[in-house]
Amino acid sequence: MTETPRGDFFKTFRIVVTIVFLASTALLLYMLYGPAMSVISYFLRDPQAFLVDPLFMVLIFPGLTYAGLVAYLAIWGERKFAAKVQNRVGPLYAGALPGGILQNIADLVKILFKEVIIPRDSDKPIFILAPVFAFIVGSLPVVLVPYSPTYVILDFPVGLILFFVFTAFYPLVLLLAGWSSNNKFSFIGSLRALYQQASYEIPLFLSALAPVMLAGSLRLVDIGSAQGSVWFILVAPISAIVFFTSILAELEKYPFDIPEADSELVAGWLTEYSGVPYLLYQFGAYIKMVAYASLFTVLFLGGWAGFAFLAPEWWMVIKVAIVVTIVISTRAFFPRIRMDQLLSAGWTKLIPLALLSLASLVVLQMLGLLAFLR
Amino acid sequence: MTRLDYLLAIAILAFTSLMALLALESKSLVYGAVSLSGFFLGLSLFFFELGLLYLGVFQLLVYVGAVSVLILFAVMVIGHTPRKPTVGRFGGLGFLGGLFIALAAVFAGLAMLFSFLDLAVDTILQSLIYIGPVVVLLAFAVLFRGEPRGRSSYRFEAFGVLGAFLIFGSFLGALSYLGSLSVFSGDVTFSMADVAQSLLGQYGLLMVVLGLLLASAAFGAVALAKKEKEEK
Repeated sequence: MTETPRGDFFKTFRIVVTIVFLASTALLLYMLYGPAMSVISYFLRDPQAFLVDPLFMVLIFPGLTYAGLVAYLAIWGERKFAAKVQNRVGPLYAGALPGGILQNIADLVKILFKEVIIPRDSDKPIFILAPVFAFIVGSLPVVLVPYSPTYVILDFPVGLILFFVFTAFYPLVLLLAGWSSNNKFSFIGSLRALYQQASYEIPLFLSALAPVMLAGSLRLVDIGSAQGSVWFILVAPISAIVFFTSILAELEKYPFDIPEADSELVAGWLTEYSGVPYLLYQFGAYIKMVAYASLFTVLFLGGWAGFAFLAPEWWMVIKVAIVVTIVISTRAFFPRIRMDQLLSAGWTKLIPLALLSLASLVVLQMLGLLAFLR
Repeated sequence: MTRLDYLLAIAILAFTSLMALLALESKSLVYGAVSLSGFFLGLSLFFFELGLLYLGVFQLLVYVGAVSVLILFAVMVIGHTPRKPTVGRFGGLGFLGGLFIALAAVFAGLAMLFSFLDLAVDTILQSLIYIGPVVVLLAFAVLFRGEPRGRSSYRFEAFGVLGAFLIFGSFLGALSYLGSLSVFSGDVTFSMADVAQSLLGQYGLLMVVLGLLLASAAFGAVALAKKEKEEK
């Protein structure tokens, strides 16, 4: 290829953009220096209490930054893993830095600068508020899941049920989003999401009852602490499998991504959304995934139980990372199933299995075989 | 209860009453259903405020999570109403919304005033109960200033306001009663097992009767729906 004036122009343009970007970053850092120093000095006034400060927990470790970071890595891993398995050339080789880990930041910048299009015939108040509520409802469960007895933001006495309350809010928001878009694809997608999430809530609740029965408490810290010797996935494996399957359906991950089915329904209830509202939906969904993976870890995988050479929180982080990896790897392996298959699997297979597991636990309890747990 | 609790209770009260009114009065059925879920949310906030965590959480799970979704789903699928311009969606409820916000502000101001004057908490509650009817009269005045929409509409709105007044009053009564009990002043510790035992033991017969009532209501609804279909 010969050098053309067009190429020259783009080279110059790129240099100018880089300079402007660096200058604005420097300006931003200069402006943020004062507030950042005050925040740091707030934390450093007592270095011992710094790591268990409630503000630290909400903003950094089990809270926003950690969940966002895991979501970021999950998006990156999902893309790369599916590309590797299915031999998709584009996502596999995109990105200059190792592994193309900066691709998400490029996507973020692109989405932030996109126009927010509000359809003329849409129901504007609901259309604008729905993504905000979806983000809030999707990311609220993060505060409930403990990462260790000390690292828990909200130690609620009935934390598990409150988690399911937030789960139950989500279809309401989706239904409103799909309805307010005034678009057939959106409405059908939101109805599918409602069917799916409402019918998979039942096996989700039923299978979560097994750890509650074994630990004798609805408090998530108690359930995690009860697994010091034996993880509940070994005592109630059927419940764990049902719970994990229901998680996949609740998160609209493959093979249950019927509501979003990008090749059939454009993007389901997301069709009319663009720009920042779209970002809110997607980010909320990934944070919800982190919350569900943490809940699965606390309920079945022993929570923060592990060997003594690492702090308990680190064991929790490692287990959550493994669960998230398994959740995102389904995209590469499974085809999408049909709506009727999904509903029949939920109602005729998962619910009986969850009940069966509960019944077997009751029998074991009555025979006195579960005494080693206490 | 501290003064902050009272301010919070009054804010929840205003929110819940506003949502109840919106659920009764909004012209768009979907907005009515959304307001109804807001009303359920307000109720659960009352339970949390009173320290009844289980009750609040189950109120949220059952009513907001399931019943509201069901109602909204039915409204969206069955009652397809043509889209109307945004302005007329709440009818005259813009007035009432403003009224309730003003009401909340007045109550908050009064509570602060009382707290400055170091009056007893009962005085505040009594004054609230006295102010309630005045507010309802004001609401009537605002409603009847609207353009005429036929007698039945007026009657409906009167029922709506009456219902809101009843809800409002019963909340006030419940608050004043529960506030006077010493049980709810400190940490409330009661277990799920206690609730289950009292439900199945002391109130067992009541539960059965309530279940029969609900079942008969469901059968009645089915019978009504079937009759309507045959007529067509």
